[in-house]
Amino acid sequence: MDIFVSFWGTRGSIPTPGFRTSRFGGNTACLELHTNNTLVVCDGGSGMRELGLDMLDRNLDAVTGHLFFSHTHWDHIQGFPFFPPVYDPRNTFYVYTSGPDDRTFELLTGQMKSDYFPVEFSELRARVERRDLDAVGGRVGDFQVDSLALNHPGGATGFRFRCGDVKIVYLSDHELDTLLDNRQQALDSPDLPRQIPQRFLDFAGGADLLVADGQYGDAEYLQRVGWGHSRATTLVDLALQAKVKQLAVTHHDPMQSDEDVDAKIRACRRRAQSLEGGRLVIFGAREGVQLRFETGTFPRSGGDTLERPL
Amino acid sequence: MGNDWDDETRGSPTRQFMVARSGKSARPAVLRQVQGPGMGRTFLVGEQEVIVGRGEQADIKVDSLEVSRRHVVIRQVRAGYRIEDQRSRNGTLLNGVRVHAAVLSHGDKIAIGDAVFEFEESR
Repeated sequence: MDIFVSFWGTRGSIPTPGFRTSRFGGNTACLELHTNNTLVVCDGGSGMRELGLDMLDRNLDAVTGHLFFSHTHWDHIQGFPFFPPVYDPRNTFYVYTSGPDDRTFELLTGQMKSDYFPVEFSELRARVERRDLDAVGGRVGDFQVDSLALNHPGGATGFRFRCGDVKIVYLSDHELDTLLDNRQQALDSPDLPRQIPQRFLDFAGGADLLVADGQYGDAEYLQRVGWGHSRATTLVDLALQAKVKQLAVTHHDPMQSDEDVDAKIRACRRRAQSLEGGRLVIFGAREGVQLRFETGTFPRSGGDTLERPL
Repeated sequence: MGNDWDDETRGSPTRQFMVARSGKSARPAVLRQVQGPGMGRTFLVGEQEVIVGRGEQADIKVDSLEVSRRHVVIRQVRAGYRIEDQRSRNGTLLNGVRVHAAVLSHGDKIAIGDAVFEFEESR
């Protein structure tokens, strides 16, 4: 079975169109995972509009989509009202939440009030429903999904998607640096290995792909401690210690040009080289890029019967 | 750029921008081979789909056993030009990273077996 992972929005905080960002892209957070049977979307920043337009081009008959939101800050939800498939009555979307206190659904749909947007949520033509991830045992079509609390003002959630023997982890938004077991030493001496809390190593352990918030370069981070985003280089320590195969650094700072992102990624690669010989594949997440993973082990049956081939 | 409005929603201006389908109007681009057998060649990429590979049907033929018969296809999409690997044996690298597909950007280096192409947008 093939799993396709597509980057539709890789910018943090605010859409940043223009010549300076044309290569990595200016759209905010949106990641798509799909198999032949299951469509998953992580976050609905402005990149979600691009995903939706691409879905129109795919001429899909009817779609069931599974939407996961790390949190409800603007750069993770404001593409949802501009996502054309929610205006198609043939489609169904599930918005995953965790427990009765999770306000994701209310906050997502609450942005579609006339004070903010001309179309009310109730006017959407597709079926859009809240679904509790725990209530379905984490089973979402072809994927088994787990979640983990992240470190971000107001809270955020990371997700792990397993399909057969393939594991893809999405951690955004997340400030790992203030959770490090050697936090102060790692700030004073950036070359020191950073001691990652065990729960993050367990969650990301052995991932084929880790897509994670690495908004800042080392120098930028010093001015933004506590803002809820990681140093990109700290992701290298996480990925190496968790034996991740491939690291995609995402949620690029809106002040970063393409060349700035290149420099950030070069710093990550230098760090990987110095810590462990550079076997880890590291790249800057870029709009329009699609990766393919092949699983040799088919997942157990019993997926969602509403699924439609993509 | 042409728009193909959904008939069902044609009457409502607030709905129209939701369902517009964009046309494909990227300017022609150039693929310049900078490494491997055939180095120095340049190819214009436009509305027609382009196959790169070792086989007879390839539009851009690369005479190398490291290149699959039908290695990648480049086609125009809404966002520009998209390259897609055709399940080639040795894969496709975009600026050194293995990808299945990508929308190309000016200056991108695409490695296909031992051949490397540079993508140049018209400006």
